[in-house]
Amino acid sequence: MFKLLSHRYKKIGLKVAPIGLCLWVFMQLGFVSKLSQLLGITDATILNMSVAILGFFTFLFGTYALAFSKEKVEDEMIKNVRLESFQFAALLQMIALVLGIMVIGFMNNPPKDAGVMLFLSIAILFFWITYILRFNYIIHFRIFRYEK
Amino acid sequence: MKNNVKEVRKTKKVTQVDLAEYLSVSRQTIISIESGRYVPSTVLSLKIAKCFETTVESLFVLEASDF
Repeated sequence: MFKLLSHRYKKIGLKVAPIGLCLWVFMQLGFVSKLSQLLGITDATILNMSVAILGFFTFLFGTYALAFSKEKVEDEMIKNVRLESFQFAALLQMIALVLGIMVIGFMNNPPKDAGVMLFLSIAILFFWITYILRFNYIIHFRIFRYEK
Repeated sequence: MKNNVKEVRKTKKVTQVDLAEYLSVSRQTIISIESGRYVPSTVLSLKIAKCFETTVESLFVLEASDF
């Protein structure tokens, strides 16, 4: 079977993924440009690009660590929930992809190059985020509700 | 399939945590089995039966809908 990372990577992923996402969002909102102006840097392009790349790959690593790290006790039920969550995420991703392509098809000015790349990146990340959310929701919340 | 794991566990005065530790599974797995949301594998069923010194048939009962 595919080897999973040890449980400590889940804690690392929990810290790293939000940091990466925040960095990327800050760059998109123009905070990095404002910061570079304050620092007296005239051309903020390189700084913006660096923060964007750093943020994106940090987020990607965090997501990877969250998705591929073991639970404290990795037993047969956890493996079953993992598989179900993968199937659920794959189905949702397919629906999202079909809807996204349909929306793009009806656009007057459909996105090109960077826009298509962004769409595909979001589609891939959508799969991982859906998987992580569904898996952790079942393991840490829904199962404990069965008790009540 | 219905099961009597919860009833037998309470009769034997074993906690979910103790049972989970004995079986080397998570507490979530015990909760899922007891609530009938998860049907354990043959190996785990046999382990549960061994823990309670009983048979698998007395813990897990097939229902008409299983056929």
